[in-house]
Formats: sequence, C-alpha cells, structure tokens
Amino acid sequence: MTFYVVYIQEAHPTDLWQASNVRDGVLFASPRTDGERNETASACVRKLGIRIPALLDGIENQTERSYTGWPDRLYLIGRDSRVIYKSAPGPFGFSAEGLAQALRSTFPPP
Amino acid sequence: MRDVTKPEQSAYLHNSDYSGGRYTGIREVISFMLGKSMRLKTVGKVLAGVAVAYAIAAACLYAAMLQPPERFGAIMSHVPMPAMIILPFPPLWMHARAGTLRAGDQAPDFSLPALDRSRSVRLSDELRERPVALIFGSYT
Repeated sequence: MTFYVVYIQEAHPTDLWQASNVRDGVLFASPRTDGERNETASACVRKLGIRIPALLDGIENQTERSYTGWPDRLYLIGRDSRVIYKSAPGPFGFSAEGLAQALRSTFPPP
Repeated sequence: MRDVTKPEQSAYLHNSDYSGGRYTGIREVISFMLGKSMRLKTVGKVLAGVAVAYAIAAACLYAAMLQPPERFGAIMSHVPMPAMIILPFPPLWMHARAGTLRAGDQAPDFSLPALDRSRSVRLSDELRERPVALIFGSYT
C-alpha cells in the first residue's frame, strides 16, 4: 500500500475566502507559480510534520480537476487502476475512518 | 304631513343599543374576525416571502459552489458568516462538489513531481506495484 499527499490549490488563501485558518494563524496568499506552491506546500509539510510523501499538483490544477479533489478528499485506487473508494468532499466528507474501512474491507487482515 | 315614523325606523335600523348590545357584539365579532383574517394573511405573506428569499439565497449559494475554486472563494469572501449558519451549506456542498468520478471508474493517470523535487511519480507506475491512497489537500 502506498500513500501520497497530493498538494493542491489553497482552500482559504488570504486573497480569497477566509475561515478557520485565520484563527489558526495559517495565512498564505494563493500561489501563482509552481515555485510559490512548492514553498507553501513545503511549509505545510514541515510545520504539520507530515511524513507521507507529498506530490505537487501543477499551478493549472489539472490533477485536482480530474479528481475533484479541492478542498480536500481521499481516494483509494486498486492495482487495476479502478477507484475503490472516494470520500465525499471535505471538509464535511473528509473521513479518515471511511478510508480505513475501505482498506479493511478491500484488504482484510490475514 | 310629516311622516313621524321615519326617524324611528332610522333609529330602529342604526341604533346599536336597540337589541340590548347584541347588534354591537356581532359587528365587533365580524370586525375581529376580519382583522384576524387580515393578520393571518399578513403573516402568511411574510412567511412566504421569507421562504422565497431563503430558496433564492440557497440557489445562489449552490450556483457559487459550482464555480471553479478561485471564483467560489472570491464570491464567498463577500458573504457574511451568519449566512453560512442559516443556509444549508453542507448538503449543497456535498452535491456541488460530488464530481463525476465514481467507485469502479478508471482512475485518471497523472505524473506529478515529488515535493522535494527528487523524482516524478506516475500513478500508473505505482499501481503496478501496489494500491495507492491519495490524500488531496492544502495548508489553509
């Protein structure tokens, strides 16, 4: 099993809609280049201590659009390239437990 | 010769005290009922207006949710926070951002750089080895 974080466009950048990120002091403007997105993503991974390998979606958001991943979402893809599990859109539908259940049902423990 | 009965007839028809107060009571009841009916109609109109306004606001919110993320964020930056509490945000959001990809569908292939720029990862290559879980998200 391989896990990847796919870092996509910001959910609540300072130049658009602000939400709980203000309370949390997580204030970043919308990255306009791949380099700027890399800087924001690197800060995220570093400050949150994320150990899962992170991939960077392009500034054109092509992968996000293919998967409707914004603002956050979980997927499980099988070896046959078929979607096994797709969560509802975050924040309301972002369920780690949902992914865990999909993993347990797809790959039952021996 | 003057008809002396006419004033009396007039008094008979219009003197509210003639029936010992009963005539006045009926008129007040009718007046009260009409007033009550008017009040109910007014309340009904207000409630209907509120319902229509609520439906229009919810439809506008849903239309905004269907926009690309940048456009949606720009629109929402002008929406007061109480509106998010009053309007049915979660169910509309779940529907608007459902996407077209479903369980069982072919997962779109992609090739993305690792954050540390050490390599590029192609999904189809990874899937030859083992299943893959993808966690889409951002910092904010």
